[in-house]
Amino acid sequence: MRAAKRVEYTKKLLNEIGLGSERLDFFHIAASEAPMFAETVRTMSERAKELGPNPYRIKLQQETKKDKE
Amino acid sequence: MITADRKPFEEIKESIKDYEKIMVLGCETCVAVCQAGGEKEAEILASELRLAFGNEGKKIEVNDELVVRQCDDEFMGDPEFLKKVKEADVILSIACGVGVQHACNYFNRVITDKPIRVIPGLNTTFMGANIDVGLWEERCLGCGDCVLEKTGGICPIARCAKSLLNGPCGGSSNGKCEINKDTDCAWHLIIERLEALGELERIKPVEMYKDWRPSHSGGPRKRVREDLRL
Repeated sequence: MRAAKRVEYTKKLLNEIGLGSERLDFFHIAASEAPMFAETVRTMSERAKELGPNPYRIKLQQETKKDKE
Repeated sequence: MITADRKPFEEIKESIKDYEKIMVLGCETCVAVCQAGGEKEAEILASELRLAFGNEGKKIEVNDELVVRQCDDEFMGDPEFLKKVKEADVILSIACGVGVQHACNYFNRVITDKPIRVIPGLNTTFMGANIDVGLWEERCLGCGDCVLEKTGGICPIARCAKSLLNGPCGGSSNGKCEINKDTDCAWHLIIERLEALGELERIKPVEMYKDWRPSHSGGPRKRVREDLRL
């Protein structure tokens, strides 16, 4: 329960800084529910692909490249 | 203890957007206890600011520091720390309003070759108690004339919306205040407590109007203990 609340709080922080709360999610999956785990991983991977890489990391990489040049 | 809430993130961002080197300064006392301005909150806020400004393509340097108390000179004199204060363009203090003001005053007294800007990251709210995990409620208004002895330890000044001194108003209903159905009627609580203590007779004498002069209404206050003064 506390983990769920922490995830909720972190999602709020991600929204505040403009990264978007969809990048983080919380699922309840039992150890015996392997198919559900696989499905969840697929869902999150697709979501990550749609959202694209962390825009801050891209800018940071571009700036580092500029500084090196 | 003093409680506070973090200012809205956009407001904080707006207040520091013109600076490049920012120090987020946390405090380990009241605001750490109410989880608004302690070490963890300073680290999170610094990280948020770096990410948010980075996302906008703005280069800023945000560091977080922590002192035991910002309302006391004693805890802020470390030379290494003061060096970092001097290097920053602005100090974003997440102490209570007392800490922000005192830090600003202190830094500008001890660092004389450049003015030090200290701005608040919190909205200081009330003097309250930790009722439950993650819950703090107002308990004291600092009126300067404590009546708790007469009301079984429940303050009608802070906890009654009207600060009544002579029992509940007509708006008290089922133990709740007419202002908000989630707010307990302070006088309902007082009567229950005095009953339990066998002191219900205490509410019979009419309490005269309150002298508000010892409170903030009488102007900014001071406390002096001459025996401690050098």
